[in-house]
Amino acid sequence: MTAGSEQVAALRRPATVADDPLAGLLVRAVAERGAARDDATRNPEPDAGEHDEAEDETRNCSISTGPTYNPTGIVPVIVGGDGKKRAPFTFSATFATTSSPWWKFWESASSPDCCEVRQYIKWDKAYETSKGGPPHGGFGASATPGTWYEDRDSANKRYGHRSGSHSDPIAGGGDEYTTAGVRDQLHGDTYNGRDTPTSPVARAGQYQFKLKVLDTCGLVNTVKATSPVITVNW
Amino acid sequence: MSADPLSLSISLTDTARPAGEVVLTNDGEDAIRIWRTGNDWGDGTLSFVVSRDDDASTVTPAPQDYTRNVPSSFEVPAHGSHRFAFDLRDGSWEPEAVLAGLPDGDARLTAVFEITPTPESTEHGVWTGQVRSDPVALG
Repeated sequence: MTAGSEQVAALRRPATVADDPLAGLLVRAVAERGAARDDATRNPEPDAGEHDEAEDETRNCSISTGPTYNPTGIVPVIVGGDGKKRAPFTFSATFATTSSPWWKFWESASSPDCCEVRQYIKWDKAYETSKGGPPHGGFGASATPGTWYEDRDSANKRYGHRSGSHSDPIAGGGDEYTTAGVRDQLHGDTYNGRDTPTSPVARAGQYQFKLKVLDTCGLVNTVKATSPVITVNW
Repeated sequence: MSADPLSLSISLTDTARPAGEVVLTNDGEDAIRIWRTGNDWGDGTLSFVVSRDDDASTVTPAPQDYTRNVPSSFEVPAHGSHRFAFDLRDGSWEPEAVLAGLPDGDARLTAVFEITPTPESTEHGVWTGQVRSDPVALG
């Protein structure tokens, strides 16, 4: 075979990954995206009941700090003069913004709007006996002690939802996302929440709370981080 | 000083319990922000007065349990209204003893909506003041 015929044969041969650096990059990109997808779907959120709302394959959630409570551990209970007792605490998390160089197009960029905080609550049997049921009507009469539920009020408003019917931003760090200290509910990189669980003074039993940060940009919402549990002993 | 754009009325569906709706109407040209119920800030805003002859007793919300307890608010739109459903015998009001003997042709029910000024009302731009409904017969 002459040198000329070798060149013709090479041109007619189907391209392989070994032959073509660009094809190699494409194969690698597809493989890495597939692996990332498999990893995400292997870890569904069991107790959040979250649903995929808007898949965005090019972005994901990356946590900078948190989610954390203040105080941690056992939350002090303050008995007021109005027949109620309260256990105030705050919580927070911050999220990273990153981008990949153009030639690493298979890598996702970290975007704060993919991160959403959720608070969960669990009450014990002693509480249920004292109250005669769940804490309030927002949970439904069939809610049981010893089970983690996403926290809410009687109007079904919940912490950390950037949008939708459960969203109820509260200014001053009550339940809001900000960027550089300014309300930025959809895209903010900082989350601050405040809660003051309250009961009549006669109430007994226990509440426990924990936080999760969800990545809402995948096929399904996945848990990126979980805080230590805090406890309110009524 | 302009008149308060908010007014209050009662629509009774049951005079014995009593139960029905309180309607808060905004006759002004601007939306008015009030506390949402279901938290420490909103649940104390509505109360009732049961009156018989010269005697008047107040019925207020019983202390509730809150898990997500934040100063949540919403706007009553200009020329709009908001309805508060109520049932004074559903266990969330006290004292129920005030309701003994109803229905009673001599008894009257008045609704009172009041938000007192607090640091939170200022921070969230919530309306403050008091409005009362006309009394309705409980007989």
